[in-house]
Amino acid sequence: MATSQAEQWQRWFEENGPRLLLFARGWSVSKDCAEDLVQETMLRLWHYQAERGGSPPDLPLAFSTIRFCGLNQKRTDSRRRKREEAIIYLNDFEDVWLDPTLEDDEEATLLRDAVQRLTPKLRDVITMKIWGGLTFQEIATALTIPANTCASRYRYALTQLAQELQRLKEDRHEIA
Amino acid sequence: MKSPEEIEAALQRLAPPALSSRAQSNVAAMLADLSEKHSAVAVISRHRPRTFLFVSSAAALLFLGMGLSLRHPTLPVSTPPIAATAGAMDEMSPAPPVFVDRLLVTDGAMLENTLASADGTVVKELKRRVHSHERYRDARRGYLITISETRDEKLYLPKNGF
Repeated sequence: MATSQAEQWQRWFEENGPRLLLFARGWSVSKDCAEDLVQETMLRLWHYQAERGGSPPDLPLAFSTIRFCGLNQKRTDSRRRKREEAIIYLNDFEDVWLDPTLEDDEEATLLRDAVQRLTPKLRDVITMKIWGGLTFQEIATALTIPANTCASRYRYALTQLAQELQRLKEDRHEIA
Repeated sequence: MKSPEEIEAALQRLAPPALSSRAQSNVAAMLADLSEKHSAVAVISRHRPRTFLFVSSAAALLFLGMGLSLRHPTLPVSTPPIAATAGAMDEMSPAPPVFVDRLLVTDGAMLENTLASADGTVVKELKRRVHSHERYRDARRGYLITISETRDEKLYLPKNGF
């Protein structure tokens, strides 16, 4: 029974791990930190679900838990930053948000960069809607905001991405 | 400029990044570990009632045996081990606590309802709260045990006048 439960969770993680990582990336300074955040989330979810039958959680709950852990981590980070005044975060140029191997054109690359530059509020909604496949109602529950706010953030993010994409394209063509 | 629908379609072509092999193996090991701990706890909790049942059955049989041995004076006196054990068990068996006193405190009764039965008898329904305190003394241990209880009572009294 224990093995089957572990396998069940493992299958769930294999299916949803990348989605969780993408969402966690918005709450972390690097990909490594995001992976740690995902692991912490999995641990919390396990204990939470253990009292409710032990089955793997729903995806909205997982997103919500990442957000909770991320907020906690940010609080800890800001406290630490106050203690250690001299701290340098190195930019890892291989640390991308979305998998570049599947991008076959210039537009996909530009779009990826544009997503990365979205404000966290807009990016969370886009991540949960596009790659998490959640409804606006589920996103609203996970983020504890009204569903209409989620829908308007989503529309605003798409418009902003379209404008950003246009601007980046024009810039590149000017350089060329 | 592209429409929001076109942007949406373009976004769906992008895939979320895969986790590193380090993260994958860490999570897999953590899940296996948690699962093992969970099953160990389940096994312990499943076996506990059986153990308890076995121990309590054995104790009950022992007491029964001791009781029988005390009730049969025909047993040869030259069996010191049994007699000694019976004496020891007698010392261990708890003497029942002795009742000392009881105190009943009753709040004022309140009329709740007036009921009429089919034969025309009218009955008053009264409600009152009773606090009872009973005290017992455990002579062997020297404890004074107080049992307090509060209960609501309903009284039905025939109504004689208006």
